[in-house]
Amino acid sequence: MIRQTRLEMWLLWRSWVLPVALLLTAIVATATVVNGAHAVRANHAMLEHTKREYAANGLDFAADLRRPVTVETDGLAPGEASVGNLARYDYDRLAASVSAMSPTSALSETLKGFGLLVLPLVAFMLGLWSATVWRRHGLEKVTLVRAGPVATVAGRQVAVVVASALVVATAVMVDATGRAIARATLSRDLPLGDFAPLTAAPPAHPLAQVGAIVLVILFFGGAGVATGAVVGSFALPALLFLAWDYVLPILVVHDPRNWFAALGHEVFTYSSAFELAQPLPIEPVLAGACALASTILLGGVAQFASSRRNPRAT
Amino acid sequence: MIRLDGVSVTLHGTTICDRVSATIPSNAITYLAGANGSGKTTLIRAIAGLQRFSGSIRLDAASASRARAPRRVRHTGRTPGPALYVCFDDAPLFPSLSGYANIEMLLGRRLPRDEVAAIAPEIAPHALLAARARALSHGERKRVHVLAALLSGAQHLIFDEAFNGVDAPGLVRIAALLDRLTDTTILLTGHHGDPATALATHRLLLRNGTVVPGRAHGVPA
Repeated sequence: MIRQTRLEMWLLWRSWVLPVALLLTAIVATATVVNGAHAVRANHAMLEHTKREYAANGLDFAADLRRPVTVETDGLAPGEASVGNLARYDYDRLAASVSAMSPTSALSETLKGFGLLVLPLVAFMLGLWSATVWRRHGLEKVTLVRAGPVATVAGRQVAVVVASALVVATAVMVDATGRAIARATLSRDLPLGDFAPLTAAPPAHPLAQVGAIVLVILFFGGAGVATGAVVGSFALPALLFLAWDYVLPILVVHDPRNWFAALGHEVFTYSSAFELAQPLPIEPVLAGACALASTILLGGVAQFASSRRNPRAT
Repeated sequence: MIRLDGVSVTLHGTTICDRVSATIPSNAITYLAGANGSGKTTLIRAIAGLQRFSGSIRLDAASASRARAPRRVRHTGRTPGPALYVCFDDAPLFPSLSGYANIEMLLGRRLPRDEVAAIAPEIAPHALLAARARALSHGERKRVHVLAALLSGAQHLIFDEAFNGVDAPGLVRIAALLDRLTDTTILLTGHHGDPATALATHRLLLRNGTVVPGRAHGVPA
């Protein structure tokens, strides 16, 4: 199985699939940092504007900063909100965006944005490609004769996990580097140190965050391998996945996207920049259990399909 | 030795191989002849574990299966190399990879260049192996596959119409290399009149999914 894993990794690399995935990841991570830097400037401009409005209307900006913000949504159209205490509201947004630009936030910020938005697509496509490329070129039978179906599929599954982990590591590294550069640049124009959060940030759970991302890799990578093993072709499943993941709304409570949205909101704080879709009501523990059980099932499906299917003379 | 005992394969309700019993002798070259549709490729796929079958297939001391398939033929312990390597008729290769890289993919291991150099010039020169597979002709792809088979170190080599498209000088060189493999069981398949027939020391004839009586193992070419 180790030999098959190395072979799959080598093929991912030599076929330019992994290099392209890493390059796209680096571009996405860079774009995320640029967006974050723009958010800091925009939020700072908004806070300055609010200060001027407070001064023009004779209001006490400093006093409002000490009071909590209120947001009303009742009776308003979806997506609209009535904000009381704009001073504190704008300050909190600026403080959150400044905190998000800290290099120490890189891991958490990358995982919560990249890990739940882009990574599912990357992991699924890597799995689907690995599971179909041998068959597309008529070479599936060669690997089956050499390694047998169990080791072939297991090697493929492990390779997809390793490749996805490399993608995440690349995202984190580029993101951390970008944030350090962006923060240094922003510091020349803005007094970032003056915008510390006024309330303590909710406790972070790095292990839970990493665990959620590992589950994303296992689930979506496994789904790609299983789909490839069952369907045997790349294009149609890839298009359907894109439609499901990015076009269709979350369908029901037990849609896997809803599970991962629930998990994401449980382990990450979405107070700045990237915002994850609000899940339909489901207990995070149940969502995690469903995701884990489905991951195991998908692994079994891939093994079963490969063992049972007659590869024929592709 | 490859021993087939009552091997039957049915695909979509049609019996392709019907209780085939034969012995492919050890350390010799056997030619399995048969017309198109006679069941040669199906039988090879059964031997390779790619096709479900009833009956029994044994490679030396290892049993491929009985009734439960597909299963990989297990290594019988002799080193080096795997128990079985099949050189398929369609000569599949990754188009974007070189011949060298494709051989590594086919064998599933890194390939020391001196190992290739010791054998390659007789079948596939460096220029052929360095080119991307998409630039190779069908005959050249076949040569790459034959080279991979010879480098595999497998105890049992099966060439399914593997020499179709290989030119006469190439076939002569391949024949010389196969002759050197005195400790390998080799099974060739093809049609009557195939020049590869001359390489074999034993022949089998498959007709309508069964081995024709009187033409089984042991009958010299």
